[in-house]
Amino acid sequence: MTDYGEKISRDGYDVKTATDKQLVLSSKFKTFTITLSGSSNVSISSGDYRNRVEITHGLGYIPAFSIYGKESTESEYHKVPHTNATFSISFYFLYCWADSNKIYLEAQFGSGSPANKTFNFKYYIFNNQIA
Amino acid sequence: MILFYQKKTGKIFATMDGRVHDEKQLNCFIVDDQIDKEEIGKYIIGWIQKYNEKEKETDKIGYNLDQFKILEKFEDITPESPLDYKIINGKLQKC
Repeated sequence: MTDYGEKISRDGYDVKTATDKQLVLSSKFKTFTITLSGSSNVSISSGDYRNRVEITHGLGYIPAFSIYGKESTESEYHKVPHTNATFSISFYFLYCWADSNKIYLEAQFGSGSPANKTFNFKYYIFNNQIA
Repeated sequence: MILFYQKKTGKIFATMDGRVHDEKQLNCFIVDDQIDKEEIGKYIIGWIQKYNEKEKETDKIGYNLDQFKILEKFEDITPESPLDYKIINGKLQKC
């Protein structure tokens, strides 16, 4: 059988003789590939404690996924799930989960009397199957 | 890029990245629990790729290409976000 593919070696190693550890890239390696990515806002109206956005991926299996989120006024993103558990009365939780048809992004308030709040999410859904 | 927005307000609440979208991506949908599904619109900037059975080739149909300059801003490293925009009369406007 013909051995074919593509590989790139690290600086200083001959690509023809390099071991796997001496490669930067090889088409032989299993890698995550993104099928869908984007962003979403989840807004919670005053008086409500939770809201959810559902992304239909329609893959027919549960894909690997990676989600990041923040409250809209924050400058840094957090890896979801995330608990903002400071002494602030507006502390919040960000969740995500997946099934064979959808990815779910949810924001919840922990306590207090929340005003209108918006949470920003970034999502990456991979072709790779986890179940 | 596919933008999902509330028809009543024009406010964009979710996006799907990319410039060329295939049928699989077009079948994907994003809903917000607090917005009726019928109230959600889809706005595409870029191309839809469809396989033409008769011609045995792939067609690309462009949508809202006049908004491409704004799309480039969404994709670059500036903090310009489509979630800060709304769609009014088929055009993107900053909220």
